[in-house]
Amino acid sequence: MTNEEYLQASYFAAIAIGILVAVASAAWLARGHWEATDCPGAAGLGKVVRRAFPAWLILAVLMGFTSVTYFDCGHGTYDKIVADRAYLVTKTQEQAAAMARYLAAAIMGYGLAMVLFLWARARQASGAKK
Amino acid sequence: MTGLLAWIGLVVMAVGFSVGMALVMRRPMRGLLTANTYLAPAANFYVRAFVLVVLLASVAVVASTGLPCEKQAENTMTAVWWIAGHLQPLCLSIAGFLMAFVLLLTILFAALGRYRDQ
Repeated sequence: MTNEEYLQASYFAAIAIGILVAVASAAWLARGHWEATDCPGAAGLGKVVRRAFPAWLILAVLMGFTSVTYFDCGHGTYDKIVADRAYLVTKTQEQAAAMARYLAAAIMGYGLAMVLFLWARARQASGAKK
Repeated sequence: MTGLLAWIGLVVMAVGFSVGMALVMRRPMRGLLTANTYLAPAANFYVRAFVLVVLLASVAVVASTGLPCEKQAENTMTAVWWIAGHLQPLCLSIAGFLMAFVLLLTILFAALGRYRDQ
């Protein structure tokens, strides 16, 4: 496998695996997410939130992936980048790490947004009881 | 061969740390999240999200770590040092996300813990 073939294969494989992991994460969290957002008083908002969740995770993975750049001071041109196999491997590792980090941060951020949803739901429910 | 074993050792330790952390935190988290009926529907989501976040925190460190070069794994002790050198970012990553999650749960409890079931 030439360096250029390796670059193309690793680049597209990394993003495909990242998106698959994001989708699998959304699927794994889906049941709990449904339980948390399924309430008759805020059915519309619940639907919006449920639709947004997988998209949010996929966008986070894409942000992580694109946050890594191949160009730096020692690798200013495409030819210099392709010539250095070790550099290509390092960049793929960086992309994988960034995607995992961004995905974890996105789940945390979403957890914070869920606090607002649950708080609004609790206010509505306790108001209705009074 | 020692290099590959060292890398596998690091992966096993990373997964072990994450699973251990999830096992330690799961029960008290469930206890907190079933304090009232306003928190209870979100219990599954937050517990699963925590497991995922801790796993991803360790995957991020392992993914950025390649196999050690020959000198770094020429004998058992150098391989152990190589693993130890990578445990610091691993622990930092897990600890950072753990603290962030505890902060998140504190905000959740501050917002919803005051509601009482009637």
